[in-house]
Amino acid sequence: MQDELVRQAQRGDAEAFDSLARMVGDRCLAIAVRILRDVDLAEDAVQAALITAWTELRALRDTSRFEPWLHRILTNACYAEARRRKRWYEGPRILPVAGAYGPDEYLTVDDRDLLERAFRRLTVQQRAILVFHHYLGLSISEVAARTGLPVGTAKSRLHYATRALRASVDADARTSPPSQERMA
Amino acid sequence: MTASRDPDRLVRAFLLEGDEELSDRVYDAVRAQIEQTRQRAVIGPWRTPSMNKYMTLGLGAAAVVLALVVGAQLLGSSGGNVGGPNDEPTATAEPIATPTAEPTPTSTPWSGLPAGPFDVTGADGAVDGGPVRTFVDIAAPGWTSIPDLDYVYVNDDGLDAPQTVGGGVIAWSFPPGTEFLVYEDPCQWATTIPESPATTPDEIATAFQAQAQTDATEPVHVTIGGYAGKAVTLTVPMSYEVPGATREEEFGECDEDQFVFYGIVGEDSAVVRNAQGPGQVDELMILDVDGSIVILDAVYSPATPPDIIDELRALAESATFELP
Repeated sequence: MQDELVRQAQRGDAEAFDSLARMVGDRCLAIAVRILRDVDLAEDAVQAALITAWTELRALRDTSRFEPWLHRILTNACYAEARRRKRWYEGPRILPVAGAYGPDEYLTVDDRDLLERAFRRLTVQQRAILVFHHYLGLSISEVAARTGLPVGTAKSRLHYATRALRASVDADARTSPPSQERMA
Repeated sequence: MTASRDPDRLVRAFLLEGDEELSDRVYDAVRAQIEQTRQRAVIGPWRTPSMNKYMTLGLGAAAVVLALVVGAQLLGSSGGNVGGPNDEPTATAEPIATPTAEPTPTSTPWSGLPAGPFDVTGADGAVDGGPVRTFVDIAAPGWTSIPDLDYVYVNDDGLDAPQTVGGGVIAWSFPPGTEFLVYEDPCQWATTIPESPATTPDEIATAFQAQAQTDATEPVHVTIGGYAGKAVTLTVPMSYEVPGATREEEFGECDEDQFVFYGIVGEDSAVVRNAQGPGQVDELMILDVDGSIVILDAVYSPATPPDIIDELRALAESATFELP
């Protein structure tokens, strides 16, 4: 069904593209939020990515690869949003977390805080690698395809991103006092 | 946090939190805009090959092994593969389900490769596919490896050239008869593919010498581990440097945003070697090991201190080879 919508959209059918966008929009937002750590910026990135996808859709040869292709566009849109944020806003932002996060037995509040801080310290490129690999569960070659990187570069970036995450968590854990939850 | 938490599971659990729904406002805005936006016409042939198909080796900076203390408690330690996955998960279009695996105990903190011979090519899944195994002599502490990439490195600061102060050695082997495409211009590599591939150390080194931009040294004879070949040094121009930019931005004027020295193209995939940043230096030793080509690549940046460069050279020159 998605293939057919892609083909129709390639012929200029805006209605079909709208349906297509609604099929993939939530997942695009989920990816963008995790890369950018900001819902507003993520929405802007998804909007920009969808418009670019419409403009460039005729260049997509294999219609079954629509989503990986869109994710690559989305990744670039996230990078652009991150750059824009850097330009206009250097201070800390508050994530709209209310209602967004469900309880997870495996993660403590301390885990979440440490990982959130550590994740924010990574570059946006490092976050993208981790999101595609750990959140979507993609192989390195698929991660490479969706980030526009050579496979070897994706491998080494995953390696360094993981290491940077560890180092950041390590540094934070040394200096942060444990929360009441942790002590309980 | 306890000391026995599965690091991958923690990261996945963290990333899986949340349930996002794109608002109608965004869909409406997209719809309104595409109604007024013409789709770009596609003229001419599809561009092939795509870099996405390429098993390109893009090694970052070399590494200092972190003494994982509290960090290891959260994210664990995985022996010789510091932070990198040993295997690739199966691709899936859906976000992965909530993790169910039991926490696994962490291993002891990783403290680097032990002194003595180390099989750089020991891991399966290396990108070159050649039959020769390469051993190097680890003489000092601080070295670690990325097994999947046949790479050992030291003094990593996590940066690309020219900022990194680290360096590393790659050991790739290629089966007899492998055809090397040494691109005439590493920046315009997609359109400067040589008419004739190189297959011997002499031919490969000569092609590098003629390569634009890399300021290659004159090839000299070299013998490593009892096998003869040619040594040549390549340097990526500093003119690509853009302070604060990513690697892809620095090479943004190049094909696919990559500066590519050489490639080996197969039927449906290829191996290519690309640069990690301006000023990067690659000291290549191209050897004929019983018909197979082995390329030892000691790579460092302008900021790498001389003692580290000496270590890299000594490590590369310590190489011995094992044939199947």
